[in-house]
Amino acid sequence: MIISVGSAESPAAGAIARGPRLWMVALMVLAGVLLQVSLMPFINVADGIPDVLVCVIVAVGLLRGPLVGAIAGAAGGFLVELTSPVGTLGVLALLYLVVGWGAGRLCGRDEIRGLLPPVVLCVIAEAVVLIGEAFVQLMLSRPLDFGDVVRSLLASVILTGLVAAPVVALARRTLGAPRVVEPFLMSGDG
Amino acid sequence: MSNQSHSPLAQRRVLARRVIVGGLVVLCLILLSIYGREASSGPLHGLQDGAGTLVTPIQDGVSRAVQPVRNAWDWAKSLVNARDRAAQLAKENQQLKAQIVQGQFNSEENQRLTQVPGLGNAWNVDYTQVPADIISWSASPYYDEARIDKGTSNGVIVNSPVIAAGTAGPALVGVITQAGPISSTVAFLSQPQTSIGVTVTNANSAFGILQPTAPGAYEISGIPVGKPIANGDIVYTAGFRLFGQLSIFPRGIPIGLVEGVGHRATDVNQTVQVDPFVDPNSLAYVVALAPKSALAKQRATTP
Repeated sequence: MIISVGSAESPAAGAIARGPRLWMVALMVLAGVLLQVSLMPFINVADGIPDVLVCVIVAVGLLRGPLVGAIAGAAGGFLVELTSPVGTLGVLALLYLVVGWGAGRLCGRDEIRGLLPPVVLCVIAEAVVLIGEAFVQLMLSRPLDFGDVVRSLLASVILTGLVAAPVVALARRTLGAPRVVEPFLMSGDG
Repeated sequence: MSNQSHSPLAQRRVLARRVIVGGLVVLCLILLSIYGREASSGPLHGLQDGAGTLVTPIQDGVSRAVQPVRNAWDWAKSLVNARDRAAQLAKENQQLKAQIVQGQFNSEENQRLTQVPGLGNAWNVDYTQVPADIISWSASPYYDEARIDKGTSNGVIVNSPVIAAGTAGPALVGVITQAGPISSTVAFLSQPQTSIGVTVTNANSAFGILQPTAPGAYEISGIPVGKPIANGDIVYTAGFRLFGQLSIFPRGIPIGLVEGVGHRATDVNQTVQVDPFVDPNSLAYVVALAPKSALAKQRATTP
């Protein structure tokens, strides 16, 4: 399947015109995974861990559309599960895929131009990932304490909110204006 | 715009997008199902071990880089709790002095028994102690797991017990759940599914099951009401599980101190609260116990 470049559905005014830079997306996801499995677990406050990868996936989705967001999410989640002792395989990949897809649906929307909306999206995405993970744990008959889950969720969501702004800003600087990347689209602006 | 979105090309694009994303979702579900059913020696677990080995040098480097910051943070936290900690230590000191008297009485016989390999109650004889650095923690807050920089090349295997320096000497903190050539995964006792056969000093061979109840707290169930258990008694691994089955943990590894005992009038068993000697979250180093004797190896293969 050839994936080619399409023009942004709603290009940002004044944004730098760049190609899809999918190699840069791959590099960002890889960097996010390495940070998530090596540095982030050490920043453990009240059983919460900042999720830098979810911020990368949300940023990629917002800047490159649902398909790239979903693929980046699935790949990133799969790599985290392979390299970090999380006890599952396929769960985080699925949850990050959903996050990337959902963020990608908002690609190019006027409502997410500033820095605050993407940060809020990252926080919501982190909550979705943690609630989804807790749900899967229950499905796997793994005992979970409700109080622990709530505390971890609140702490992780706050910490993720703190790291979201620089990640989103860096992603925007690196990837440029939002543009939906889709298969079978060869509109020739890339 | 409307014509464009209904053109054959646009429809193919939507179809291709759905096929790709749908395929990924199905792939994730298949992985999830297979991984949940396969044994820890299965191919997907093996893939995890391999990938974990690849990133071990990076995790090791980051772990060393952040260690000074962690030390500074732990020091700052210890200042906040210093007053409470001093009072608690004074109390523990009194309890320990009382235990010394009992300990001296038993020490000679214990020393003789622990020199006999294969008895299963001498973790310092039946196992090789393998010191290891914690190089990474789980990226998920729901898993109290960490990766250490020792693996099968050092004799560490799945179900090897893991101990660490606690407030009163070495104490049990977890067990190896996955072992690669140069790194392994430790599941700490604070994991919700933990269930260990334990015994308590001075309780006349009382046997119970220890399970985590809250962060940093454990509870023992199954000890009959008549058994004399008091605050400050030491909780050890029993070396066996319910119905006398062999445990993966050898007998005699300390876990923590009894900090509360209670039961209702109608209960036949007591509920015993345990304060662990080690807080896994503050660890930077652990010691994995690599099985050496035949009995220790048999324990590690216990289902």
